[in-house]
Amino acid sequence: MDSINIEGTPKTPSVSFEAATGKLVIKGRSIPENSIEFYKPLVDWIDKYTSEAKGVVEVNMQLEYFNTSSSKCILDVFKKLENLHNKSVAEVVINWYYEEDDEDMLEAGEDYQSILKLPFKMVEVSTPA
Amino acid sequence: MREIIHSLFEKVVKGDVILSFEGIITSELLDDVFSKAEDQLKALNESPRIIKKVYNILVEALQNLFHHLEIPPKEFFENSEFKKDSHYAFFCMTREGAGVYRITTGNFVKNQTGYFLRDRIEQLNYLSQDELKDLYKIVLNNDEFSAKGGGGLGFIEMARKSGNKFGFELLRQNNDYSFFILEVLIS
Repeated sequence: MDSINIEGTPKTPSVSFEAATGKLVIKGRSIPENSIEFYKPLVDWIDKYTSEAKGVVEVNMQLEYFNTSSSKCILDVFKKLENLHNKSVAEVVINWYYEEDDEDMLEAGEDYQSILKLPFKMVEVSTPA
Repeated sequence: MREIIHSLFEKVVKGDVILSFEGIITSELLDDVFSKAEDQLKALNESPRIIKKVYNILVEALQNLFHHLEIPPKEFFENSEFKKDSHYAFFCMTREGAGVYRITTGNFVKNQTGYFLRDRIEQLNYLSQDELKDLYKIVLNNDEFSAKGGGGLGFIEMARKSGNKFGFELLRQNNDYSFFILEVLIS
């Protein structure tokens, strides 16, 4: 299965989904006016990956900003991962990154955690100078 | 009608203005505004926490305009500098003190939409932070997208992040249209 590699833009995050290693990274800002277009291929990829995933699927969410149009799409990504976690032999772990003083981003991660049945780890990182 | 709306804009653009705009809303304009706003907030030495909060709310407020503004009625374009049927709106961001900002937007809406917005904002203004959090999660998880791609979450998110009640005015312009002014105070 092919990997996904998308470079970030001022409005969309960089994406790296590697089928071979099970490492999925979404990083940067996600503020497109229409996010469905951006996230649909990611959701479809996870759907396909469900039949071949093995071991641990590590998901690193390293978002700086996201708008509410993205927030529903991010939930769709997580729901597909939840499905993968339940239906495949693989185990999904979500690492939700937030900068040390960014309570809003921590709270956003906790909101997802409370909706989903997936192991979440909140990872605090220091604010870049 | 054009003069009345312009005078509303002038009333809003007061104090320590960080950015203001009156005219045609496009995706490219918003990209430019977001990047300038971020640079200005950094230049004002605001903390990363405040910069993110203000930036987030600005994105929601202006993308709301982009998705939901109504093209003004034809009287608006008489003696106006704008091309007929263009996507007119205005917005302004002012600094009210260290870490305190006010974002105001103005756009036309159909009267029916205006009543809907008024009810929705009054409901949100009534909710506590905990209730807003619960409502956010319910709407986030309801599998519905509006026809314009928004998730119906924008107002809830702005209420949650701003920590203040919305200010708004709904000014009837004719039998079909009202002018809607939204004010979000971030502190």
